[in-house]
Amino acid sequence: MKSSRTFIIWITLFIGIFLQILPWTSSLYMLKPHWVMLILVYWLLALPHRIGIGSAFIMGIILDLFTGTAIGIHAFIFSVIAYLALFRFQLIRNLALWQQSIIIFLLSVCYDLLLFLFEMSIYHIITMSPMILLSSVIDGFLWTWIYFLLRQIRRSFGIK
Amino acid sequence: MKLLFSKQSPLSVQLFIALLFALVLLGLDISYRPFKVVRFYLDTIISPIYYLSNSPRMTVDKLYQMSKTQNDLTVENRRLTEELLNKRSDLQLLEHLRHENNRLRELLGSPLRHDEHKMAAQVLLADTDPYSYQIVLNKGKREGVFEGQPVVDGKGIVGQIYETAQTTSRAILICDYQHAIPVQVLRNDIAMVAVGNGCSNDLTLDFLPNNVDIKVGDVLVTSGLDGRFPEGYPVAIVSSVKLDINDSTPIISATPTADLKRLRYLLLLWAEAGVNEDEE
Repeated sequence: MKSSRTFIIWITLFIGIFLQILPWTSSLYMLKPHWVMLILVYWLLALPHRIGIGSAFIMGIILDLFTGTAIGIHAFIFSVIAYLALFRFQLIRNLALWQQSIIIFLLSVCYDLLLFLFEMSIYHIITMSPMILLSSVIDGFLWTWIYFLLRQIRRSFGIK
Repeated sequence: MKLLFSKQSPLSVQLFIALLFALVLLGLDISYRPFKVVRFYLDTIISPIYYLSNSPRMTVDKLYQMSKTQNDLTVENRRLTEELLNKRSDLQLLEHLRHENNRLRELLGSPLRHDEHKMAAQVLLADTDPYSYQIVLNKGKREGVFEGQPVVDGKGIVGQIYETAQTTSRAILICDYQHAIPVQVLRNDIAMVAVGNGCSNDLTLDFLPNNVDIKVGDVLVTSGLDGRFPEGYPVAIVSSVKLDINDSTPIISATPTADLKRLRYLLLLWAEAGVNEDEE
């Protein structure tokens, strides 16, 4: 029973991957939220004893495979994000929802910047549009929804 | 690993180990060739999910097909038959020209051109990463897809295969920052290289001769000098010719002929030799 409940967490993460790889029209591409990161951060904050840096690392590897980036890029980024979230998880948990949204926004910016740095150092691309900040803003707004949705899931399945 | 990531070890140690692992994997994936095998198996494991993620689009397509009335279908059928007839008559002429061309090539002692073997493929996934332009196709190593294989659509070159898995493969588009393709101007056979510049921008032409004769509207076709892309497929149309004010070198950009933003069904090309190798 215990293992089947942890399984729910992984199902939600895989749904996140699904949403992440669904094609968007290229004009709206900059608005695409980081689904996997949002879901991952929720579980990190809610159940830090179940989902930790190790799980974040594995999710990163899986996402690397799907997006076709070099293996390790997303693993690196997710490990850093997991660390930042877990470092003061009790503090973040007790913040108001809009304050949490700001934290999510900052984490998302951190995600984009790290991704950019990696891609730049590997492929030597020097263009970066400030539009990618828009997706971080969307992440911040979406956090409220994700938070309530996943809390509902967590309570109805009794995942502890 | 279980021990390292256990709850007892402090967070910073966990982070340090995870980052170390990530960097080692990154280094392996980028610069250690044999690691490709690992990647091949990992990609094969996850490939069913590509099919799953494509299913919503497939259902929409199917529903659209089902919603067509008989009248629509007859109209479409008539249009297609007409088109087929036109193409067939073109082909007859082409067949004649090919024979003539082969005879002339024989006279000149230059190598004969061979037909390519083609296979239709469907795009399972596009637009996954904002910094690279790659697509996932539903044909893989099982169908004989290989790395570096050219991918075309009805209008021109789309890209080439970059990674293969058992049942899927990943192609890089010609507009990707990392991609470059040797081309020549159809009008006067000047050779140059078209470098990708992001899919929202045009291709940039590089390695130009000093006094280049090129105009807006010139068609660029593959030159076949790389030994990967067969000669003569359209790649792009020149969209602007400017001069750099500082050193008066031309800056030329060209729009790809293939509709790279809306890719759905594509063709994979095998040169004759490649197919023979596979069959042996």
